[in-house]
Amino acid sequence: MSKRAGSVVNADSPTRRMPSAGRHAAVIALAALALVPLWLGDYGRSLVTETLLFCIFAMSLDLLMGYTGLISFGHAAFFGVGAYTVAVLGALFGIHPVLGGLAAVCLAAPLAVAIGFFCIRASGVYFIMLTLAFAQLLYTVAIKWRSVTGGTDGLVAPRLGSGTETYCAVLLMLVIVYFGMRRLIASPLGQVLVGIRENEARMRAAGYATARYKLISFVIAGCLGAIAGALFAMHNGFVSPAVLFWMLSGEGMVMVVLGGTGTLVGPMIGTAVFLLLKHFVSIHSSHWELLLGAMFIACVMFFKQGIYGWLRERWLPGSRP
Amino acid sequence: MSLLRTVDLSRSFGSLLATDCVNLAIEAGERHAIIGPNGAGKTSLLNQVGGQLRPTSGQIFFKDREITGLAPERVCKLGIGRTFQKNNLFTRLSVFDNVRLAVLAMRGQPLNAFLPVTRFAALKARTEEVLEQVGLADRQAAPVRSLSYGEQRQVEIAIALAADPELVLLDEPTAGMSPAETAQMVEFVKRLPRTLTILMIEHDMQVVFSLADRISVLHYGRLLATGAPAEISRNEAVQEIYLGTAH
Amino acid sequence: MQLVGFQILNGLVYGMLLFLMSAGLSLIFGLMRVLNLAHGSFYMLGAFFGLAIVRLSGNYWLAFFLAPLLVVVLGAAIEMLFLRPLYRREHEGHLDQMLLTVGFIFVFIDIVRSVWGGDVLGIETPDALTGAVSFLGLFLPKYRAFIIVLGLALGITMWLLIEHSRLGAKLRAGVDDADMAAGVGINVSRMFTWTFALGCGLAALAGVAAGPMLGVHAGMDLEILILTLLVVVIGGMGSLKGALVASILIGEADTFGKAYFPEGTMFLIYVVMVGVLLFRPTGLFGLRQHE
Repeated sequence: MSKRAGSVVNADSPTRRMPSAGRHAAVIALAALALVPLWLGDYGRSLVTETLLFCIFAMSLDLLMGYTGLISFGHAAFFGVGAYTVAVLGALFGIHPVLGGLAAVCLAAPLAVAIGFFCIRASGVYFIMLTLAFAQLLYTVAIKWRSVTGGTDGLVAPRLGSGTETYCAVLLMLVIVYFGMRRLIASPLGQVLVGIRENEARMRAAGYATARYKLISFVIAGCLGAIAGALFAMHNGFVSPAVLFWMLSGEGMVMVVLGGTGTLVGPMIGTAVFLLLKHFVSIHSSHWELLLGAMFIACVMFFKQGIYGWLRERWLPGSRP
Repeated sequence: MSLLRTVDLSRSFGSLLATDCVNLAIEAGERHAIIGPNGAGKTSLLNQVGGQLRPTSGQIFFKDREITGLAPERVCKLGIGRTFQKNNLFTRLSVFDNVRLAVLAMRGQPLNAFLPVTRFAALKARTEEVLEQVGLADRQAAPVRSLSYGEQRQVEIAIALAADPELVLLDEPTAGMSPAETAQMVEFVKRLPRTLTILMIEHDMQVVFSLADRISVLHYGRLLATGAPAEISRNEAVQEIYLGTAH
Repeated sequence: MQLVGFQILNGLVYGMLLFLMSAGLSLIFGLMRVLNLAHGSFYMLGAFFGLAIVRLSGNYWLAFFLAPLLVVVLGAAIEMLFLRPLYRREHEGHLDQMLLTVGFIFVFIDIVRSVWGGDVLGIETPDALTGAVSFLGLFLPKYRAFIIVLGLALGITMWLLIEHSRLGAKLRAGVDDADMAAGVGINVSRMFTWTFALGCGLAALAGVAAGPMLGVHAGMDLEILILTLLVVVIGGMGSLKGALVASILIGEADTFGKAYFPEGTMFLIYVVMVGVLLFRPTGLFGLRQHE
């Protein structure tokens, strides 16, 4: 652990110097990703596109779960709002998906304030219950409001140019979100969120209006989740109420825990492994959910540090406090 | 004007009266100790001042401003810091991070989401200052959970002082400490400037008599007596409840 | 007027089902600080086990008693094998336990869909409870009256048990300080197992009771979970009284909503919840959170 006074932060912080091996690996990975359209076929590229946008989703959920300590079971709400905004604006008004994406964020922010206000105010165990309840409400709205959302039939969404163009946009967005979040985590606000996660009562006694900070975290996470949803709509070309369904929220949780909560790289690894497994298993069997549940249970019980946590322990022994 | 005043402060839990019509006045610069048998309502009283507990009736004034029922963060911002009886720290974070968080609340820009926290030199300076004052400068990189119990109590105090309060509430600062650690803590508190007012709960009578300017005795939530240490030790009612306790 | 009275009684029926659910959930959380998000799944399992038993034996009453019993055993097993190891976890073991229950939601839904498919199935009302009974000049199907009686009976039993018995005192002691309780000889682990198992059993009972009335299908776990969560939020977690009041409130709101504004029923309930939260963030009878 770095002993430079003043830069001593908890082991989760990415401002710790990554060992050069890790940094080289990251650069190589980024280069490989950038060249994907060249060396992977259409199907592979599409898979990677989906993985990358779900990485954004998972990272946004980790901001809540891993960094602020707020377990949300309704994150699909923002993903779905993002997806439907792009789809509805495109299908009903012919609006370009990028503008649709911007609108999605503009819609997600006040929604997050409204939902977050009640969920956070209720606090404690009520938080997770209410996030699920509000997300389910939106799901019900999507199903019933057939005239706008197409109900259970779903809605066609405008694509963003060709597959390669979409891929580049998603990759760019992921890179921006990743570095943005790194900044956030290393900033004073990031420290405050971690403090809230570690001991909220202490934070309050130290002068922090923790509810306000939790709301800020919730809104940021919501907006990022909406971006992921918007990208999904553009990539998938079709949106159905499944984007608002609780299972997506649950899957998000699994992606985060599997990869490693409280890190930025963890959720990305978790997403990649998760989606790979999902695609593979779904082809050969109809018991994906059983595997998903069992995997999640096993993770929570034996593998709480996630894949990334485990990797860190092996390659950087003694780095965990 | 008393720095801190309670007026007929009461707090009940169902039929249990934890605080019974307490009228207390703490003067600026004073070292005031609250003593009493277990269950006398000492921590409840502190919790009401600190905002962790809402009084059932009565009022609390800090610098003549009513703070009854204010949330803990508001109370802290007004200049009241506190420690907890059971260590209430960020155990997985380093000592430095613990104190820095406390400093950040009052002196930094906690809403800044764009600059690395390490860039704020004033934050770092003040954190190191507090660590120096408390004697933990050489342990700053260690995660709090690896610290000894006594050292953790020091972190508790550091957090309370980091916010530069005018009044600090110490809830049994020497609880669970060895005689050597206790002596160190007493020396430390003695060296604190008189610009800081201290209201403390203590069980250890030696500590109380070394530090306190005045003592208040709580019994079943009621304020039995207040006065200088000599008066209190002569008080018959107090002697009765402390029968057998040597001091 | 007759119609309104009928709706009120219907609302009470649904309310009782919600009461069984929310009481079980509150019991588990109140005593163990574990939010059992798989609670709806145990409801669903109760209904499906009941269905299977009825199909095999032709006897509803056998199903009524056996299905919840099976779920009690299942619940006990889950608590012992999966939840128990997590109590001693240093940082927020309770949150991990909650995440664990989420895992089980997925597991159970897969099992149910694989074995019984995705259609809505039905359980036949037992002969003893077909037909209607007269109450205050209204005709109420016997089955529904049965559910109301069941709910009230269980509610009173639980209240007596928790407030006025030694077992209840032990349970409450276990919550407040597990170490202290263990120190006085209370077997906290066993108590927790029983509490969790019983809570799940209540959910299963609600499921098998609801079967003949509401049908049995693979999505019923989520439907009832959402409403149960809303009930608990409105009534206050950990409060039996709150569970009863809120269950009846939501039961009535749901019934009247479906009768008079079917499209907006859900919204009505959410509006009620938001209203309550504005003034009482921890529910009508919830314990005020101090920190």
